[in-house]
Amino acid sequence: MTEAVSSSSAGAQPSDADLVARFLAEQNPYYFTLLYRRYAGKVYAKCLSMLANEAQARDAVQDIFIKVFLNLSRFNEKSAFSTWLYSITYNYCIDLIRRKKKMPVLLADDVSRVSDEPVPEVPDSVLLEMKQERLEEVLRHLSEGDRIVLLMKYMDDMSIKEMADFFQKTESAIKMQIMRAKIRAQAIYEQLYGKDPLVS
Amino acid sequence: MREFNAFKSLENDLMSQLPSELEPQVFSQVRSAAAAGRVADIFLPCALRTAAHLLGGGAPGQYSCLPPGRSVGGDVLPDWRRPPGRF
Repeated sequence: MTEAVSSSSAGAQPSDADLVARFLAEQNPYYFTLLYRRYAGKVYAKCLSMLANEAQARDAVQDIFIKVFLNLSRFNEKSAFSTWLYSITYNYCIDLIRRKKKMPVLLADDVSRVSDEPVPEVPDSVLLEMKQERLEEVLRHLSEGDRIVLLMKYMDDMSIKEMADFFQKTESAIKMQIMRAKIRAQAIYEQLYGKDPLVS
Repeated sequence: MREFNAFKSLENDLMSQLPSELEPQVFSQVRSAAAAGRVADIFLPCALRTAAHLLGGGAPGQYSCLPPGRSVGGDVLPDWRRPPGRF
């Protein structure tokens, strides 16, 4: 199978939706292999960012792709394949963290109670221009809820609407959650490194 | 267009750490899941129909999951053949 994949992947790149459709029509594992190769790294990166544990991230990637394989017929192209896959990934990580801690991940509460308080604006550059290893450390110190919204927005480029659909919240609630997550990230940065992230 | 995104840079770094031995493991599980799925596809509808038939009061021999012409109940003799001594 590996030879077949490498020889025929030399041509034009089919879209994700094409690969899914062809896989469902022909049940040929070659198409699933292409999807795996396209996304396994990204899924692994998300799992590692969320779980901060290599062994768990490896297991998570395996479980997530089995889940995707078994549920591929339910993918309805309402969203991009990547968005669907990342939703499965985040849900899997949230469940795992929840089971590990035996407590809920507090995103829904955070999102619903924020609406009327004034929130100071933190520019995106505060996070985007951080040194990579510092960002990793800051993410590790954030709550799972804050980490997810920041990863979705800045790593996955998910739209506010896609995030609102994922969390089943309003778009304004999601915007507020992102703003608060940025404030908390900035505060953690200052705690860890003692100065504003943009002054380095 | 922003030049540097620490999140993307972190993602690229973590992506490069994906263990290569993961792919054969995933596909071995995918193959097992596919095989189990095929068995379930063949077996489950038949088993459920048979169970429904039996619960509904039918005799076990009356219902067959096999396609027509492939019945295993071979007691019915062709018309042209009469058992000896029954004339």
